[in-house]
Amino acid sequence: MKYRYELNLREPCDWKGVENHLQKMAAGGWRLDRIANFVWRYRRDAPAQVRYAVAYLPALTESTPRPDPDERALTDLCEAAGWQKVDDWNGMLIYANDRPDPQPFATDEPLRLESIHAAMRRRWLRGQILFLVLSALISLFGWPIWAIAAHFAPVTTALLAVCLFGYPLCSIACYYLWYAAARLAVANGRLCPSNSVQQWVSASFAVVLLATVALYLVGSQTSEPGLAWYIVLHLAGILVLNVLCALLRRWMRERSVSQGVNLAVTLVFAFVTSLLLVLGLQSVFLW
Amino acid sequence: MPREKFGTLTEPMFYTLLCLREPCCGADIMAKVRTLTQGRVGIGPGTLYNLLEEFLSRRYIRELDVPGRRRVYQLTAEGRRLLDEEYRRLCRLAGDYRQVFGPDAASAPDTAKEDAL
Repeated sequence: MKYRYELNLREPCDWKGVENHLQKMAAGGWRLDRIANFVWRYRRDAPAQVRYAVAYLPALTESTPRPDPDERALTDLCEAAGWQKVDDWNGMLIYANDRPDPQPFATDEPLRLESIHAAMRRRWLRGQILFLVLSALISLFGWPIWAIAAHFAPVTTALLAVCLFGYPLCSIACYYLWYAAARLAVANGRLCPSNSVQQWVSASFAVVLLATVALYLVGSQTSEPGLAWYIVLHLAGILVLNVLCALLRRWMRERSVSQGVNLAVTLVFAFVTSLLLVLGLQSVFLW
Repeated sequence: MPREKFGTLTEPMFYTLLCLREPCCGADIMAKVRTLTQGRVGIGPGTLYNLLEEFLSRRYIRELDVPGRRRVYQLTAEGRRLLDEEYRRLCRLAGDYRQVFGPDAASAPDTAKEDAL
């Protein structure tokens, strides 16, 4: 089987963007196969006109044991109408329909907006607020990143501020602007608009983050060459750790491990491996 | 202005409650609505699931304890009250229409309606 991987920066509120993108991919011979965090896997198939639709179950998390009764009830309903479940991600469930003239999936726009908002509030918004709180804690408790940034160049400090505070604040503002416009649209009988701006905010954040890291690296290369490798390996470690946590969570949920146990095991795993990563890198670079 | 939720029922809400006079699962509701309205109203599965959850939380319908995987629902007395209220509202609208255009206006051919205007 031939696979293709894609980095997805769309948020669940970009329902139309997700549907259109998947339809375009299927027309090009790539069907969505599996979702793991930000990485979406497609499998090679014959090009086809496949319709995709998204639904929301805010209570369905990455660690909810499967099969979940609510998810099963929704999927049963969808199957009765010819829609087959592909996968779910962050409380957003993706369905596909091969029929040439499929039964419409969602026929009530205010209800669609409500379910999107409930899913976004429960997962995404909490994540952004947590990010802000952590950024504030890092800044308040004297972690050395600000000092290191200031040591290299003022622009690095500015970029760091954008990463830690600008991104979450801008994301939340963009989301609520979209939500206000969407409420007005559905109240006037129009289609619930899709929020495609959010992915550009995330993409800009990724660019700023990369620029900050690049500046750190360039700065440290001239003053302390070992520090550059330390930073690179640290970031690579965080990335690998993130993927491992996602895989572990998915493995447990597919085996119907309870949500509490899943969360506890993932947290312990993340804590222990982070500690090992930090200690391992320090032992290599400091001694 | 946004309408107060369930202050007036949308067509999918109205027909979903109407179909639940007898115990039904979600798939039955979708089929019944299509048959009842001769295909004029279709309720998508995504919408129907959200509606059923909303109705359940407000106790307009209840879930029956039926063995098997499918969930079966039925209208409650509260749901019936809501449906009756909507029916009376629609009757009042129809009455007002007849008062303005006369009792036979709705069944008159389109050309006659244009003349009346």
